[in-house]
Amino acid sequence: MTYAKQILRVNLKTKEWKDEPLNLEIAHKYLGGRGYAVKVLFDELEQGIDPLSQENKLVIMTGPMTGSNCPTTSRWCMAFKSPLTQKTLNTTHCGGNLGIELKHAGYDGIIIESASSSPIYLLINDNSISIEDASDIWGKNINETQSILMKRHGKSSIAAIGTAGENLVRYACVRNENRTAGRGGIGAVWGSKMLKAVVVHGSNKLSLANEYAYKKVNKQFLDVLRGHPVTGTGMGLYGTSILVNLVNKHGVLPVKNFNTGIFSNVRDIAGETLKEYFVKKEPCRGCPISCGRKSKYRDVETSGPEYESLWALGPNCGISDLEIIFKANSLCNDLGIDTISAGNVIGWFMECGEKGLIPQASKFGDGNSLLTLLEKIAKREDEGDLLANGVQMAAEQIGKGSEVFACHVKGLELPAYDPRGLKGMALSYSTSNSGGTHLNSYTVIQEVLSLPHFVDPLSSTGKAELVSNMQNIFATIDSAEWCKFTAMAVFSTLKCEVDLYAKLLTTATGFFIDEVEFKKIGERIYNLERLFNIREGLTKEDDNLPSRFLDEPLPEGPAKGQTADIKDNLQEYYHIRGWDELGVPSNRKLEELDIEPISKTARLQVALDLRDLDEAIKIAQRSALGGVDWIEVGTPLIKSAGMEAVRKLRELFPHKVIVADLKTMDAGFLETEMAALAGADVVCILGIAPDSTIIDAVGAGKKFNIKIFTDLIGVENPVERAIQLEKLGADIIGLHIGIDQQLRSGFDKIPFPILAELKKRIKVDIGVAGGLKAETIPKAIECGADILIIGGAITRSANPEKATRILKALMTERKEK
Amino acid sequence: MITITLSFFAFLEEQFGRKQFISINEPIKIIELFRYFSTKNGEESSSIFLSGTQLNNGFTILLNGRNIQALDELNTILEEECEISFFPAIAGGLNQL
Ligand code: SF4
Repeated sequence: MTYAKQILRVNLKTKEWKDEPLNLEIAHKYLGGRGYAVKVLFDELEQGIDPLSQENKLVIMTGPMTGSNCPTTSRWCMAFKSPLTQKTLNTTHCGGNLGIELKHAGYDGIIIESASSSPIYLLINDNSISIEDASDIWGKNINETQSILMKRHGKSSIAAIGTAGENLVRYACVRNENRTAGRGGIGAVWGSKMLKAVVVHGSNKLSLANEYAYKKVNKQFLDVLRGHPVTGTGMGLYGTSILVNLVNKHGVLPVKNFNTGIFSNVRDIAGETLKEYFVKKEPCRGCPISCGRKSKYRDVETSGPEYESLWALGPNCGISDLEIIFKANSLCNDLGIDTISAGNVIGWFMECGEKGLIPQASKFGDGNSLLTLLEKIAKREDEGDLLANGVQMAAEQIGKGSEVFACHVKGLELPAYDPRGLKGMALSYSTSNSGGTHLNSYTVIQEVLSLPHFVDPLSSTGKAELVSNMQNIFATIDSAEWCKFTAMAVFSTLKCEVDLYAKLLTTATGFFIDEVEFKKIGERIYNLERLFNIREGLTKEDDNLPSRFLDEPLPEGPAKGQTADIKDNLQEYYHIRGWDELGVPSNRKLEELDIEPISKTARLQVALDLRDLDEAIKIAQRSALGGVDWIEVGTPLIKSAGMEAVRKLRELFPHKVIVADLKTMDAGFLETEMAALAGADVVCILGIAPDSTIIDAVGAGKKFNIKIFTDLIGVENPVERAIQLEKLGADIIGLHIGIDQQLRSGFDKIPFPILAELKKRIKVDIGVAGGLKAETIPKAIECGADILIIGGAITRSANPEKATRILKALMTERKEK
Repeated sequence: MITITLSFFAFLEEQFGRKQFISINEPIKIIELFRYFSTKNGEESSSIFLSGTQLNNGFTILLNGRNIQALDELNTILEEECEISFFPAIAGGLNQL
């Protein structure tokens, strides 16, 4: 498999490091890259920490595709709590060689903790690790730092910060060779840890899980990329700057801090013009698309400039002078500043100047001032100190209504697409877990590029589904570490097919990943990031856009008169995501995605073993008020009311987990399908059923996204059978003493020793049913019950709400001990 | 007299120039505009964009910045001065289309 199966954990304060095995369970669920890193940070970061304090951690991760020879996979990422947004996580990706070298050195990632008290850099040469003194390079910018370290260490990959990172500019970036990990202030996090650079050289080889199959799919992937007009020719010919004219014509190229969407001097900076100044291609390693390039205008040679940088340092500041833009781009690369955020902050500053809110501020179009400001920001000198904090903090400090035109979401400055004229991007920005980015969902593909089909940018219809789908898919792409540009060729309808990616992952890693699983991994990551944000105090109110986009219609162009009101779309989006109306993921959704710790807390399931549906509904409603987690449509209820009972309860409790206790003994696939189509989240199959029935049920479970609960009722050797059932793919094992058996042998005969033994022998969740009551709950939890299934104690209680509340309290008390 | 500005981007610009102007006496549909276009640029020129009466894959045509697919596609009527912009699928090469 393409994992190195090892993580390096480094403490910069104690200067100690250790190797840790890659957690394969996490890798299975979160893949690698962004997903793995987010999981580590979710588990290890304390709520409320200051991103620039030593409590923040930095996770450098590769994905399972990094370093395979699959096109566009030289990529790696860094995840951290963002000093710019101060609350969200940010994962920033880079196409430099560090990821490949790291993999070849035998590591999937590095977790960097705490902070050094003096400048250092981390040196990795295969399994030789050292923390080196960086005093002599501290204070130098990136080009010089890279060349000194290159001379010193020879063949290796170098990622470094410039003076902006050292001075804790909240949108400082990291450069790795000629590529940038740009957003969210990663450079400041390095600076706060006094980490100047990471130098890596590796010489090990990677292996593929199924080389033969992988090669075949990889060839197919390469053919798709080569055969597509965008990835096959266009991007290589013009680079990303080819977008300038197209976006401008749509009236959504932000000009002068998003005052309008049409740039009158667009020709000066468009891709067609830049082609004349092309020097050479500079792609990420092994990329056939090859959008990266070097250009030279007059005496100024620079990487790119990429579309986003051209826009941020050009039209957004009212500048069309290519020489200035080239110089500014080159300066940002050397100082280590994110161009998108810089262009936003300076655009905002210039607007403050135009409006007289900051007397000394320069005005739109002042190119020399742009260059001076970039230097001052990196040094935090004069007004540069204010601007170094990002547009949100700067506007809060200046006030006077400047917050209205501070163009950010959740503190992260917006990229180069005006959301008023692109309804999909309006929703993408506002619901992005890391704030104002186009990289979590990029509906520009459909709304502007018409790939694979045109979707009207001015219509909100279908956008909630498109955005949530793309967010999930991009999260998985980010975790495997492909370049998202591949998606332009891979998606063949608006459903965004991922079959090809899934096959590549399966053959490379050996994990079975089909289209459903691919999207589920992304959805899991997206929900976990959301939970992180909620833990940090972000709410529905933060899923919003700056006032400029809500109150000031676009003044000209095809989107003239449009604002970006996303309220209705937002509710639809929450609904599609399975979040409640406040935007909080429901427990049902978290169960479905198997997100810990929610799924690892014991859950209370009320078993509605009744005949009458109306009565069952009343009890379920009362029990739900008392806080029950799962609602079981009991076998007697299904026998009397049919699958209608499942449908009805699904409809009434959209955010609860619904269990259909079918006690299936045969026709595993069909009955599982029936339960799933009626809306159940879990279906009960008898553990005593033939293996073939279990296998079919598990297959249907995967296909229809429903969990398989195998009930051990009547099984002679429960532990042995449970082990077999787990192997067959059951999601939950139920230890169940049936009602008839209870009637004969007593209601408190819960086989705790068997439960404890099961806990030791199997990994999947264990449900316990039959005779549980207040007195036995603590013992059941102690022995390892994950789901407590209670019938009579709730359904026959005079007050099911109170009974549920008492039982829940007992479970919680137990947990807190 | 109605003047229609045709703007070309990426490799289309190299082939047809940045802009062309077509004058018409009465409103016409976009599909009919291609007749004028062929007269100006040679019989075969329209076939880059059209196969019969169908728009070829990979082209974006905007009428004053609005994708004609959001309008009445090739049947959209041009009745006043306007700009039609032609983009290949973000600049993909002709041979791939
Ligand atoms: S398409 Fe561009 S950004 Fe993506 S991997 Fe290739 S060169 Fe790098």
